[in-house]
Amino acid sequence: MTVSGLRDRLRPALIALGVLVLLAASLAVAAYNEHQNRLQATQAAQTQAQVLADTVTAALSFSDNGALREYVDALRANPELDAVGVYDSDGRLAAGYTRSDLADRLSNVLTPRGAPDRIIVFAPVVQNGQRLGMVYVRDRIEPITRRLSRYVGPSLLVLMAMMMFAVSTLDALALRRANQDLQTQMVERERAEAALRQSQKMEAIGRLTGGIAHDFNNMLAIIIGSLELLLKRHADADPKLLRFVHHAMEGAKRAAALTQRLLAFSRLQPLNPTPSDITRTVTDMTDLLRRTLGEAVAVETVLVGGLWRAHIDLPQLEIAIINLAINARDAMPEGGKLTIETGNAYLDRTYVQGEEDLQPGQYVMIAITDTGTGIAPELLSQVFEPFFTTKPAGKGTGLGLSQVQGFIKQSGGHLRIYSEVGVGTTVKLYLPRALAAADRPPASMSRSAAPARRETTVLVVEDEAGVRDFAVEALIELGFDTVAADGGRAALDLLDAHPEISVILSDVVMPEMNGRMFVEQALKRRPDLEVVFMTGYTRNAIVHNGVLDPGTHLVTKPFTVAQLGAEIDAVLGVR
Amino acid sequence: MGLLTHRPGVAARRRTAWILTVCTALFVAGAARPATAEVNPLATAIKASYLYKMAPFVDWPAGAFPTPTSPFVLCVVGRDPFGPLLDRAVSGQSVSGRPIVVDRLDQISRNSPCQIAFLAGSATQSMPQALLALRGAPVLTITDDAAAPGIVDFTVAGDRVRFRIDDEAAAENGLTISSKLLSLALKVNPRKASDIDR
Repeated sequence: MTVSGLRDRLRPALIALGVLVLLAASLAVAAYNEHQNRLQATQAAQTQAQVLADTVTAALSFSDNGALREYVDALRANPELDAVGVYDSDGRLAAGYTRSDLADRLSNVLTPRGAPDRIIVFAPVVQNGQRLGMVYVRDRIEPITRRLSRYVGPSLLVLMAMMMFAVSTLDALALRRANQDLQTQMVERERAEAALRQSQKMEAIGRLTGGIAHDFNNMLAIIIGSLELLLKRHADADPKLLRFVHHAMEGAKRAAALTQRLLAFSRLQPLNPTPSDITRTVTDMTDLLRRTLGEAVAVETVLVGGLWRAHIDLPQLEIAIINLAINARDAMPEGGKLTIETGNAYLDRTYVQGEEDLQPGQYVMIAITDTGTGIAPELLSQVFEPFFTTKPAGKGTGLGLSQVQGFIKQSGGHLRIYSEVGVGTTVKLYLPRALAAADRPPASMSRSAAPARRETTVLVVEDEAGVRDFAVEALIELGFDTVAADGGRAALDLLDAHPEISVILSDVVMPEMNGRMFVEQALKRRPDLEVVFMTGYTRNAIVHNGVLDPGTHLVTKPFTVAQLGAEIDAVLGVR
Repeated sequence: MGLLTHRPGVAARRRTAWILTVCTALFVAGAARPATAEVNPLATAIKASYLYKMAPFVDWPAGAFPTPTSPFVLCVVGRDPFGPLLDRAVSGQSVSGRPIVVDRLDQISRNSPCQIAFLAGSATQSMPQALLALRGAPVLTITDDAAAPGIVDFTVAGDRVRFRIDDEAAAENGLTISSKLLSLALKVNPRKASDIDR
């Protein structure tokens, strides 16, 4: 405890002590005053008795009762003198009076009965050393009520002082509490501001990477498309030359994968969530993981029965699990154990409160736990940032966890990471439960083998010439007839001019008219048209939260000739 | 108050009864002179007690006593009206620590060792002669005769024994009489202004 804390704790006790001291002091003063008062009254009575004794000597000596009576009666003027008696040398009463209600007799004064509010004094009557008799004076002390009334003023002062003490104590306590509240609020505010800054940072990075990835995808589409056409048309070229082309193709595809992850982080990749059997997915992946992770890492699965189906894009989930597994392996250079658990979870309102964009409800949980080095607490908040990596330069892209995070968030799920240095790390993925009963059949991956001549005309709408040319070339390669336009308006004109058009392949983001608006107009004129979108950047009109509208077909740039062919076959209903 | 009003009366009656008893005893014994018609035996007893009661209110000059331990001498000069009443009254009494001694003389001179002298007159020395003899001596002269008053002269007024005081004569004899006593006197012949400061 700090010194000021000790002082704060002691303050009420000190003030109570002060009040007690004040009270004791005032009581002592009152008692002293009372004593002084009594002493003074006694002295006054003593003086009175002495004066009387000196006066009555001759009258007493010569039995001048008239004179005695006059002397004694003179004292009646003093109302406080309760009783006065003059006695001769034989102890006989010579003169006196009493006005007391006390039932005593002056003849008994030598043995006065107890009367606390009376002062009784005796004075000898002496003349020239000759004892002639005695004087008795009884003084009435002021009544207790009048004496108490004299202490009302000081008592009020003491009372007020004590109240002031009390008020100041309460004030101090209230101030302390307010100060604590303020400090708590400041801490909370700082925390909230830090969280806001973090989310703004992630948002900004997301926009940036999303934008870059989009442009890169367009360029990669051109590169990959061109290389594919080169390979197709000059398949008989010099093998050495072809190897270079293959290398270039390889690099372009890796670049495409990288931009895909960037899009995943920026939550802009197109997702195709389906009700998925997570138990089967994990079981199917176990063998792959064992082989990927090597001998040193034991893979264990703990799967519950009756696991709900999750509404999730399965290929992306597999990538996420592999990413996490690879992170786990890298955290266990000496080997260890990787545990994958599943379970049903309910995230309640209180849990959801602190999380952005998370709804309370039922979730399918996948927990991936390693026995690795763990992550220091101060780094935990940073691990989801893109390009943040603890791995040596060149070994990791720093996009693994950010891809997982982006993907899960985009899917309406939730991710939690628990880590303890030296013990290990657990990443829990919460995937939204699939409530739709029907399971959509998986999309056909087969494609028609022979690029035969088709009786189908495809309208290509793309503002970027490179991509448009590649698409046209690719369609021709696949055996389609093509008509191309560089924008929505031109495309609508072409549509009117070419009634043979039965399929539209349209970009989504275009300057004057976006893909969705164009398709809507086109479908108004020709409701029988089949539509395939191509996109590298899907934050646009046809995508809600990255999820395709039901029934929409889409190819993601950069795409291959085969992918394009498969998608168009799909809309045409070709098996 | 009601309790008290009759108390002095009771005391007075007791005293009266006591004095009467004493007087009766004296008469029966025949020890006293035949009382004159005007002599009241009760008043005589009171006067006897007054003789020594005067003492505390009077200051004698330093040379009044031969030695510091000398007794206080009360002289009765001439016809003694008190007899054993006086002896009884002074028995056990003292003045400023000096025991009181009663001395009965036929005549008195300024050399007599008396501090108080009750002058009643005798065959050998009349009262005026005695007064003259004691003039200037440190003796408090007490008389019961208005014709030849001493410093203190008894009288009876309204059934009570009172006294007149000649403070001038007291001053001549070098005595100082307390004002308290003076205030009780029926009449005071004040001392000369020049003597008051002494």
